[in-house]
Amino acid sequence: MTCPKVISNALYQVQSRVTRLVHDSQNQFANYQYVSIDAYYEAVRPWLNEAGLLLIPNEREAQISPDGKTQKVVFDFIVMHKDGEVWDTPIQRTVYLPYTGAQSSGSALSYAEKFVMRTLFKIPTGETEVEAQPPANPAQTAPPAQDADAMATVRGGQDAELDFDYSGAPYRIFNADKGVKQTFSDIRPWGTMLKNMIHKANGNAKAKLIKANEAEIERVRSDVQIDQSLTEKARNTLSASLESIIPSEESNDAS
Amino acid sequence: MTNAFETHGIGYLSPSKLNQWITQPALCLLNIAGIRDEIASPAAWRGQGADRAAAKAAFDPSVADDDLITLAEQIFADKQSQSIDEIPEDKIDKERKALADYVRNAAQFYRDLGEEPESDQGKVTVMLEDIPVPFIGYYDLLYHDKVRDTKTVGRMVSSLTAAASRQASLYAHATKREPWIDYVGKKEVRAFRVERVDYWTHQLVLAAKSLERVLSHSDDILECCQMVYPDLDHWMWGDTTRAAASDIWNMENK
Repeated sequence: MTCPKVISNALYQVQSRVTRLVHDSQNQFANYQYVSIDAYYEAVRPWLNEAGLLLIPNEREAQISPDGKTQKVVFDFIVMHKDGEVWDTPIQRTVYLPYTGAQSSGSALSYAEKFVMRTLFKIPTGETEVEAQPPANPAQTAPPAQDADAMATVRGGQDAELDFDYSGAPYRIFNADKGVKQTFSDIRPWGTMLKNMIHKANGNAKAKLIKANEAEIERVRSDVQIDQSLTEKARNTLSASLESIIPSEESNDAS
Repeated sequence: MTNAFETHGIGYLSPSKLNQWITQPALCLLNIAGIRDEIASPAAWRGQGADRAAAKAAFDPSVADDDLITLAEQIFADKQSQSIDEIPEDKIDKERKALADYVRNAAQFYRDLGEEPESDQGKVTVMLEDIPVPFIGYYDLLYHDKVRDTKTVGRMVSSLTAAASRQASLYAHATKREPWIDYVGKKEVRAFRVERVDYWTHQLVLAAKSLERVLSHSDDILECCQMVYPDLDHWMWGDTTRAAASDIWNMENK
């Protein structure tokens, strides 16, 4: 491994400027705070510019697990100086995260990029260490992770934000603890099962269940409105079904 | 202490639910999870229309066949309008055209009984041995000494089915009347008296205990589903439940 002197000097320059980053975001599903990618950019970019350093991500490999629930993405981060010198050993990061659709790759990149910056420049953020986290529920986790980054992600780590900015399947049902209970490739079983779960639950459990599923219901509601493949009759029927999942007074109680 | 039925939100059992459990256990568990095919087939719309017309004829034999057929067609059209599935027109036409024959046969059969029912669509509620939730069902027609259930069939049967016997026996157990099943076809009506009411009622209890044991496996109905495997060739599976089965039993992935 050969690192050009101009790059090692620049890396040291950035590291010497580092200050602590504060949590600026709240993960509403796993109920923890984290530092967003924007906060990293805001803090780190001036230090990088000053040192003339570039961090260029390159997605080398992406796979979805056989059960369709987990995505693995391997990134190479190329470290380059503004004058053209390149470190010949890219920094590799492998991320495992719950696969929730096309946007999962974006989430993986954010997570990987943050961890590269955090570990490369030793940026303190107050994130919980992997070793300090409780053992995960085997039924809800991915296959054995290959590095600490991946384990942290799968266990609901720093950047396990769920994506609601996609169209169509998978249609997800969340349990009251905001974990994904079941995914469906078809909207109909998703809707009927979710409605059944909410109607069967009582009291506080019902309110938590509604809260956990509100964002997904809203995502599907928007999706139905813009889906050009639906007939008007089908759209109206689906919209009415979506409205019935959460009775109006319960929706108000949960918000 | 909460029993397994209540844990899964089952406040009562019905003969149809237990018949489904016996025939298609995976589909039954999906229904308990809230997943069902809400829109029935044209054959089911035909059955619902013909049943209502038959009951009307039973109460008022003077109602003309044409009026009964109009009633049945209205019910058929209502059911069709609620469907969002794309059903081939020829299938719908086939059942709609057959409706008149079913109604005429059923109306004539109930007129010929020469007896006016005491009630129709009556609810029965009974507790059976060792089962912690009640059995609830709705009979079609209650007479002075008989309780009758009307079943329209595309193909006429030569004998009583076990499923119909279990269902009628529950009504008989609750009403203390003689159970009859009237199979209405396009060409004829065949009526069967159900024998051995106690035997068939006990079959319901055994089936309920079997279901209770599977439901006791987990508080999560999707975990209970994994104890059985779906038979998607069966006609009872529709688009919604097939799609759900594919995901819940992870059929598309090795």
